[in-house]
Amino acid sequence: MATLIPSIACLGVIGRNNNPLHIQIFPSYDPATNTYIPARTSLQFHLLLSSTLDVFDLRARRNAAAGVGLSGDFGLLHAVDDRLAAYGFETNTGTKFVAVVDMRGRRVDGGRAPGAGGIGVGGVGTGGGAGGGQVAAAAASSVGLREGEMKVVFKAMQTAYIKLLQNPFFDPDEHSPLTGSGGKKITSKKFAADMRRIGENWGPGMTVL
Amino acid sequence: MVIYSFYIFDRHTECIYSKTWLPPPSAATTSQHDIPTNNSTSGAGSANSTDPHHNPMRSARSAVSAANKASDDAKLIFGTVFSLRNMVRKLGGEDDAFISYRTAQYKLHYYETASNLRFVMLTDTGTLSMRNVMHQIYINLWCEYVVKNPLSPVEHKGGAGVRNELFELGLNQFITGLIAR
Amino acid sequence: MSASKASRLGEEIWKTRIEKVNAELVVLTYGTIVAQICKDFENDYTEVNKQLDKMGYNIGLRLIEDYLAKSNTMRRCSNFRETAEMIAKVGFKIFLNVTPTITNWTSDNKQFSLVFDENPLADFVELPDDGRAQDELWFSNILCGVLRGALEMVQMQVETHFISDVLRGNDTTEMRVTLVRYIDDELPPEDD
Repeated sequence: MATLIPSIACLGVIGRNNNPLHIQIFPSYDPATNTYIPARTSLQFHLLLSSTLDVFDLRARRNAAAGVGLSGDFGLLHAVDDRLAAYGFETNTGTKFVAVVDMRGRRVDGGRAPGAGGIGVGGVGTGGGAGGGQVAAAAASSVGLREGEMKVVFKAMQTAYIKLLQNPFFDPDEHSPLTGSGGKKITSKKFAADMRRIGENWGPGMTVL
Repeated sequence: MVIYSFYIFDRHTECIYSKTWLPPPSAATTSQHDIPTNNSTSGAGSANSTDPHHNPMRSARSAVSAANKASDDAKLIFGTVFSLRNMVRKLGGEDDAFISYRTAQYKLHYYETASNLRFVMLTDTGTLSMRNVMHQIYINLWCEYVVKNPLSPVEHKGGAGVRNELFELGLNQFITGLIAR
Repeated sequence: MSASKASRLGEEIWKTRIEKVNAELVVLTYGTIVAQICKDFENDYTEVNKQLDKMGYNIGLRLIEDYLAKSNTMRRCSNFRETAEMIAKVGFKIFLNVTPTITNWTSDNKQFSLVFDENPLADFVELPDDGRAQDELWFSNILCGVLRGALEMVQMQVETHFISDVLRGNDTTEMRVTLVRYIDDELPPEDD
């Protein structure tokens, strides 16, 4: 018997000026064809990420009014439909991380030890092995995601982002200029690889990424 | 223990620092310390231009000649220790080093670092080895205050950069502390 | 001094006599300097390498005194092989807390390689993606200068350069050190 568990469908990093810095899309399991393909087109994901910006803005304003700090884990930003949901995190410097989760993004075979990352097309590479048992357990017990489940993703994304900033040849001003608009995308291969690793490896119940 | 003077020579054989602690012997003033006279050897206890015992009438002229004499002394001392060191190496092998020599009037201590910095100190004859003292000066004063001062040049032509306040102060304190013991 | 004795000495000094400083501070400072030089020289990487080497040389001239003081070195190395051991196991250990491997000696014992398993200066670094930096820039070239300057002060003229760097996509980071000659003692000028 096969179970479908949540996986990351898209990771987005958005700059201080609400400019896209990095977007990476991950294929989800498609029961019709029994293959892994992206749940939405690239344009649709871009629109989805854009639509989260208003939520960020709203939350930030509400947080400021309530005096509970400007940043941190914003939790569920919005549930798109019964499959996709966007979660968000904002740093003190205004950089936003968005993770779009596909609630039925990955297939786990119930019968044997699941190796979620091993199957499929689209470069689902090395994932799953370690967290496999946890993944299956979490999937069986709950539909949807528990509170704070995405924390580990944002932690990992922030670590990768900090690593990127430590590169002396990376010029943050170029990517989010003080003029308040625009900015170049991140071109670092290391950063892209980190994002890919996070997106491919994450599954519910994971504590380390 | 009495310390008469102290010299530092760099790898270009130039005297980049010298200091005397005792007034030079002169006909007019008799020093209570036993200081070698200049004709006896290579000139320990070199002239000090700020010597209060000098006749003010003579001081302008003697300041110039004193400066000349001090540099002559330094040259003589370097010549001496350089030849001695080379001789010692020839006889005792490359790793051998000469530590001190003594005359009836004074004792000369010598210490050389691997970077060819040479320290020379003149003391009275009863003083034990000052090699360690000079090593301490090198580690704690020279390295800390001169080498690690980014504004001080690496090469000290004519002593440039060596005469900084911290080094001067530290050296004085260190030596005063030694003599008091 | 034997190799194992040298590494024990390095370890000992590192533990007891070295003041530690935040690694990120050093890495960021050095990285910023390199990035700024690249900017100043409009990405003329040959010139950047030269500048880094020059800076290192000036550091080396001073650093050697600190090395001698901290390591309590009282005598010269008896041969170039011993020098190499001291550089790798004491010098690099106490100033960067790494111990490069010494390999690839030439038969005349005048040339060796230092292979760096880790390079604290280059943590986090990704060379600029302009198609030239990967082939022309030696990011850690300052180390070549440091070695050249330091050894010159102890009367060894050497030639140093990197021949590979993991930042460029090579498997290892390797520096080549060549002894040119031992410098003679300077003689005092003749009195006239």
